[in-house]
Amino acid sequence: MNCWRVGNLIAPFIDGELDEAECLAIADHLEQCDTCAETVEAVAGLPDFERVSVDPEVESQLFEAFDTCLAQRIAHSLLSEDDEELAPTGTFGTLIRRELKVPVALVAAYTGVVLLLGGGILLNYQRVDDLQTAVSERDAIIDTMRVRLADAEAGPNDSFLAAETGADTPNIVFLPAGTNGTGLPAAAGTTVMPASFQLGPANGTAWRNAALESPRVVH
Amino acid sequence: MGRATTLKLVPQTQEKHPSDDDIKVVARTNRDRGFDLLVRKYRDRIYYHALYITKDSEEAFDVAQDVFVRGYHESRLFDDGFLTKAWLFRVCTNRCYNIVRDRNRRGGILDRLGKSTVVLQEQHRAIDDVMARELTEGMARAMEKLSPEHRTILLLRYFDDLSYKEIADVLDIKLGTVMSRLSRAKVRLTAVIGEDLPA
Ligand SMILES: [Zn+2]
Repeated sequence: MNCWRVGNLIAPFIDGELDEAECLAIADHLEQCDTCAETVEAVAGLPDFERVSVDPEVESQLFEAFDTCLAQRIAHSLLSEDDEELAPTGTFGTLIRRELKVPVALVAAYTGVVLLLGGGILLNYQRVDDLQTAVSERDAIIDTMRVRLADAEAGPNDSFLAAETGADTPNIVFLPAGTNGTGLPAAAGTTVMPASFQLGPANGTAWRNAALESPRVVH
Repeated sequence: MGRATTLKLVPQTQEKHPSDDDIKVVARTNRDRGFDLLVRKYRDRIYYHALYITKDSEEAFDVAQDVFVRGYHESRLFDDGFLTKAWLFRVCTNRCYNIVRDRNRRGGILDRLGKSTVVLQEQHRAIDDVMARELTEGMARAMEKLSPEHRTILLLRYFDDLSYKEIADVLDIKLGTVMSRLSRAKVRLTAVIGEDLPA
């Protein structure tokens, strides 16, 4: 056990959170090292942590109101997420804006997915382009062959070959299958927003009832 | 408020609360009842934890409310193995530091305009007064001179009375890190208190 290690274990040593072997090792070190012994002594002599003493009456008023306010907030969080008219102002408004952060994050995630899909579509287009190039090259070769063939045989087959290697051939190779993916953001938006409703309890539960029956404390 | 200067020791609530596991059992048959027990058990601890970080009763109240609203919507809250207590303190701690950070960004000006808590204003003011007085002396004053990291871990251990394991869960750090950070924080605290003593 060295000084550095003892310095890292002072708190658990004093709090009795170490096993016997570690305690003994530290005790051994403290017998030989005055610096560490002094530090441990000073830390052990720290006064207790105390909580600010609030007038019990003030405290009970605060926590009585706590439950009422909480019930209201929960009710509002259940009711007003998709209803701007019901969305309260002030602290509730802040709360609901915070609540909305989760759907916003999800929408952002979906946007990311859509962008990725879009990237995929672009890649597909790129591949189609490559294929078209390849087909044109093939066509060029066929053309050359045809010319050579015509030269060699002088046969009147121009119309047949022209029909088979026409310019419209590449267009029927691949259609970008992902174009429908652009419908995703809207679909994502509508499914994400009401998620917290599904998490909430059924109508008429204690917290919701408490909220709806109790007088308003926070406006 | 003459009594305000006297200090109480940490275990403030004499009320006997069911264990988190018992609350989960209740919640399995009646979620609202379980939630109610959870709120009653932790509302003051969460509030005071927030108060010691934000130093503002109204903001602490707001944060504590927010923590439980989130808890209400957290589907895993009463799941077996879900670290409910650690979750509550983690959400609370993160919220508080966001608030403190935003406040610092605005140049230390408290944004009071958006708030209109009427009924509790008197109570909040009374608590802020006690808090402000306490921050000028003793341990609270010394704590203010520590880094947020050290202050938070001391708060969780010696004020909120969380176990080392629970602190590891709240801060998402290893048990060994809890031990060393806590040790370094306490050593730092003794140094700060030493500096503070009149020569
Ligand atoms: Zn040493």
